Amino acid sequence: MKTKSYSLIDSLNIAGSIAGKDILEMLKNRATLTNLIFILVLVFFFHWMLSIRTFDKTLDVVVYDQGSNLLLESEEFADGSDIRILYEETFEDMQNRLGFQDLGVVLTSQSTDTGDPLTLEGYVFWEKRAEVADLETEYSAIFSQYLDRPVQINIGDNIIVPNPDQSGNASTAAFHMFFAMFYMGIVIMPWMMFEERVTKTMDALLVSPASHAQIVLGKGLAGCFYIFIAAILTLYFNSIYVTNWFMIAIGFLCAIVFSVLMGLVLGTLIKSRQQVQLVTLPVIFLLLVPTFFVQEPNLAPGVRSIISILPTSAITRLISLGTTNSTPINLLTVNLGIAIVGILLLFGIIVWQLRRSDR
Amino acid sequence: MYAIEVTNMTRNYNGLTALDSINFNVKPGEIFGYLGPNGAGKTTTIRILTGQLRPSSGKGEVMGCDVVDDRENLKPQIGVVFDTHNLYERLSGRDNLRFYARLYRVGKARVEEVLAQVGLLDRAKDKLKTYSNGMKQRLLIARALLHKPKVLFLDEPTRGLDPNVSRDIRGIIVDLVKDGMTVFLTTHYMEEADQLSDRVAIIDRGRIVAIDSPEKLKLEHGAGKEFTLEDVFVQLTGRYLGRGGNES
Repeated sequence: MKTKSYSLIDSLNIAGSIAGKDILEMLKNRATLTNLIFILVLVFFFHWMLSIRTFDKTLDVVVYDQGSNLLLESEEFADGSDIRILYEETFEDMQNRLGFQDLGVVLTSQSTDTGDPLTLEGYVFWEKRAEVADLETEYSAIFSQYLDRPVQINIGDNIIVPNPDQSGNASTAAFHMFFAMFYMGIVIMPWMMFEERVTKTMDALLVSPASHAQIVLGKGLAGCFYIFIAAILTLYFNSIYVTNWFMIAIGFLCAIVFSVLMGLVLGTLIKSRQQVQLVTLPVIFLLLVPTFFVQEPNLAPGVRSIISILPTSAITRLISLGTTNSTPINLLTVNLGIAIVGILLLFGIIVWQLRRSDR
Repeated sequence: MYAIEVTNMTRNYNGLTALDSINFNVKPGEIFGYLGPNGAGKTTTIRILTGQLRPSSGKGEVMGCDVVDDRENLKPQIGVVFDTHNLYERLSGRDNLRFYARLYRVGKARVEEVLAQVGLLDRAKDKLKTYSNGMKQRLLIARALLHKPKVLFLDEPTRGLDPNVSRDIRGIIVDLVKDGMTVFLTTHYMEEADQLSDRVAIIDRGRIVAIDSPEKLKLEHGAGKEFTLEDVFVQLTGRYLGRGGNES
């Protein structure tokens, strides 16, 4: 019997054609276009949400006093309507607290001994590194007004990069970045596959030279395209938090692959329009919502254990490692391992579904 | 070699027998009418012969390609016109065909050729949602012809169409056979089957109950009376109507 096998190039051509058609068709589909726009608006909204604190004009200052009580005695600081003072016992505590505050200040006996112009060491978080000069001017003016004496806040290179266990805007940004990619995958991709089934165009594809695997690959590529758009956009808005581009690349790669595969799995499960939400909502609640709490410090240990074994949490952690000052090898390997296991599991489900559909 | 050869083919769905050990063959260049009541097994047969479904047992070959084990070679040999308008509604007629042309690795010139063949060239750039049912049906045929298949499966190609469009489509089918194509046709219109088919098979409850040329079937079952193909069909499958059927 003569056999004709398709080369890898042929397979990629067929998958590419299907992907091209899907990308074009989705842009003409009101339902998917609405979802697409919704996700892009969400990305922008998240960005806006992180900067919403700038509307609160109160200057939150975390103070670490190395020995001087000068500022402690300054009641106007504590009661001032424009400055909120929070004291920490150690420099590390001040750093950790800084994740959610505007400015860290270290008081030294040297600086508070005289009634002369006061110079204070200021610390800001990594995300504000580009605004240091402006912040020095702004904070100096505010402190001068409240202390009723000339104050110079020197920030300079005192940029605090969050550590891997620290919560704050950077870890929240990691969640936002993962959310944009994952949500795009689980909302757009099932729709793509489900519509092909409902309109029975899938039957026409299956009698064409396209195999089940090539169709799935084509859908995956189309999904990649849209998830990639979400990735680029969310990265653009959150690039200010990035400290380690290599880790961001690893995290994003895992996020894109996982989201595509999850979208494909959901696409094979959904058989009717009604099932779209029925299947998607549990995934959102079970896999997406927990990732928001992945770096929540006050989480009950049991809940934390459950959340941390979710592949979505692991991928969020991988992304968040790209926004921190170090990459502990244990955190990297554990989370990368969980992410890879999750990806392989989804891949296995798709292969199993493909084999079933071949009967 | 037969264009289509089916041997002891059976298909079960969850304990129900959709096809029960059917046997038939179709000669190259023949229009083979495949008739039967709703649920008789017509679409199941087409789905198996086009590689979309596996038979539970038995064997099927199209142009020498096994429908289970040799689907890669089978696909370029067959064209299928489905019983639904399974086209991409948001794309134009031309874009629909160009997409499939890429899958079949067929040039753009061929797309224009088949559009002209089915008389859709002047509406090719319009979106499908502006097409009438007849135009969509012609586009389905154009899609099935893109890669010049040797065997064309037509699943109720004139269902729901007005007489003019139906006549156009029958004309296209006749032209295709003149060019050497083999046509496997299912239809509920007995007159159409009578007019077009060289031979017909009548399937009922998964079993082939008659197979021959329309003329011979009419003679055989008419027993001296002036029988139409519809009379034959009702006689063989009309038990549900309670008259004229062999099991009523």
